[in-house]
Amino acid sequence: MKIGIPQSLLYYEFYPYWETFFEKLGYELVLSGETTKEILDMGSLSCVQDSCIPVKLYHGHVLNLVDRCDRVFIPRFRSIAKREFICPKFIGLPEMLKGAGVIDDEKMLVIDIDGYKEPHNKYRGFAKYARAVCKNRCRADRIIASCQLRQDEYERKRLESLDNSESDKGIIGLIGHPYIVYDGYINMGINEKLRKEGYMVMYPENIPAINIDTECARLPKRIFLSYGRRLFGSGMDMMRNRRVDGIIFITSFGCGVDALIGELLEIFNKRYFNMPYTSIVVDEHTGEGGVKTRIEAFLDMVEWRRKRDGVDISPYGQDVHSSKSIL
Amino acid sequence: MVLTFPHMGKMYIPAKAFFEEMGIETVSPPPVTKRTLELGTKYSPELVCLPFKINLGNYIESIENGADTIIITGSCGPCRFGLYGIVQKEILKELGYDIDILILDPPREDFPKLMENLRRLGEGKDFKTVSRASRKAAPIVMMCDSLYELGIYKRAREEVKGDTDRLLNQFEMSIRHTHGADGVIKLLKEYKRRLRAIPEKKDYEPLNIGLVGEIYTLIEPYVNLHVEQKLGLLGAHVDRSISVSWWVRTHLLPDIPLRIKEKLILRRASSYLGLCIGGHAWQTIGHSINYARGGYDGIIQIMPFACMPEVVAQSILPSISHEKNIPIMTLTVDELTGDGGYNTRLEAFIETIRQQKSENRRKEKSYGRV
Repeated sequence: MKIGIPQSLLYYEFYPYWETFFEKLGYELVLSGETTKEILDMGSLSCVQDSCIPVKLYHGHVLNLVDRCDRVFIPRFRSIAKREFICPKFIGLPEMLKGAGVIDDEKMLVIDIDGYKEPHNKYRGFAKYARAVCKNRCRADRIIASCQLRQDEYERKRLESLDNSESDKGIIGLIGHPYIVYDGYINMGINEKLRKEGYMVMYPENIPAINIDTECARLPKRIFLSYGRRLFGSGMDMMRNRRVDGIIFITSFGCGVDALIGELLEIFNKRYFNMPYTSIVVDEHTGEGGVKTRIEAFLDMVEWRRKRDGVDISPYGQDVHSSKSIL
Repeated sequence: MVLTFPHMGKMYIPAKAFFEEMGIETVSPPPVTKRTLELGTKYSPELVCLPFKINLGNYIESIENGADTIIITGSCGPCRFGLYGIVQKEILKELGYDIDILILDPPREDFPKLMENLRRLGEGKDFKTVSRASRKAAPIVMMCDSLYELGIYKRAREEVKGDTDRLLNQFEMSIRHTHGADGVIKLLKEYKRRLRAIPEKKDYEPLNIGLVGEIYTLIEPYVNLHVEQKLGLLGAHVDRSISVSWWVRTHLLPDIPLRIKEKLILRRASSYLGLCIGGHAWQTIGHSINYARGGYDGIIQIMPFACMPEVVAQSILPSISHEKNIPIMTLTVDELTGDGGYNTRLEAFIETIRQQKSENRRKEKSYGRV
């Protein structure tokens, strides 16, 4: 059987697991490929207008796959961490696709990912599916274990993927959801642009989970959206520990999580850290020219800051950049 | 401690009565006006949903009137409503208002925190006062909703256009001058009696329109541009799926029959959406199907722009409309929504339904003759 995987949304986060899983089951994999203009156009035509760009893109990717494979794998993300959600749209994704007339029920292969109560057991939907297909419990469990191994290895590697040796110009923190940060088409190749200018890029995925937890614990209430939590925690950690020279917050138009998280980061940055910070909102109309200009202006600011401040030694208990106390 | 709370339709009436019975000093936020919206929009993040902006405007206006503590309910569902309190607090702090926000989360979330917040709220009050106040205030929620439901019923059928609205406006003016739960109950009873006395048109069958959608936009009339009133004046009887009393009865009171009914409605939605995705999207789908089964003439979904759960419902509704053969229109509201376009769409929707209906009736008649 040919199985199609849309290369969109959390594919960038979980593809080692999914690919290993379907390969081990003996399926042929068809990927929808990198995002193109065609996919974006198809997606925004078929999806409801008020939706955000990533979900529209997902519609496009699924449309691209529908005729090329027997079934399209559509994960239903309910939760990937204990008592946290991702986004309501992720939970209703299969229904959205069906409602938009993109794909039929028979063509969908929906597997639930639900770790709301038992986070260690969030892949049990996959285990169930594997058992049903293999009819051999031992083999199914072996497949699941190897998938988990691949995923863990990928996550570990990703954490260490930043090495500081190459660049002397500085590091820019690029904060955003994986499906925007890693999708070169929708973010206008922003990471390439930064790299070309000689900067290193640090992603939220480079920050260890424990640092993120520490930052989130400072808020009066827990953030119950997994990615909101990651973006907030990693952004705050980068700023507090001065891991980066500047922060670009990249979000899509209509993203509900980022509207609040971006505001929080901006307020805290202004209040405590005073770092170069800019936020870029992408949608289906964004022209590349505007983004380029903004990035250049931002990098100029980073460069200028660095020259002005020279050596980063601050008076006791005070920030280098402002006279406010950070204790 | 001077307490305030955000507006949500007529919720301020029972809330005011409750806190007055408790003996806590409260500032009711001024009615939502253009200024509220402008204040809220100015200081809110650009892409956040409309309820956030209105709430923030309410807080600022209340703080100007002397409030220093805000009480809101929280949630930890997938909807971003649960994050409102954190962000609003920081925004207000940036504006120079150092106030407290008491977030009342559901008990299973963080029970000790909830108890601490409640204790702060009822500081120095004994249990007897609290229980008496809540016993007195709870019926006001239901009475208030039933008054406005009667208003909806009358508005579609009134003989002189505008009678109902005039009376309801009078009611809202005089509620400000009452004090305590007893005064409010007396006023509610009086106006209900006067509302009942409004003469009706004879032999008039209004269209039945069901309203579904996001809870805040459904309940707060300023935000939905007085959709109930507009539809009523067009001669349609509106049934709103969600109201404050509905929320209180399904969440706070042990009202088993209503809860079972709600469960059944949700179960019927399972072929379209089988699980909770946050907010009230599931209810939107369930109630739409329920309206279609109940023989309603049309359904209108109302949601704020970029509402996360309702977007999913919006994309499912067309298939319900198709399969159950019922017209469904979605209205998205944001701070820029103009009155004119909105009116035109509502009028067109009602007119289409009315024509369709009369045509169907004519056809039925001619079939009968054959």
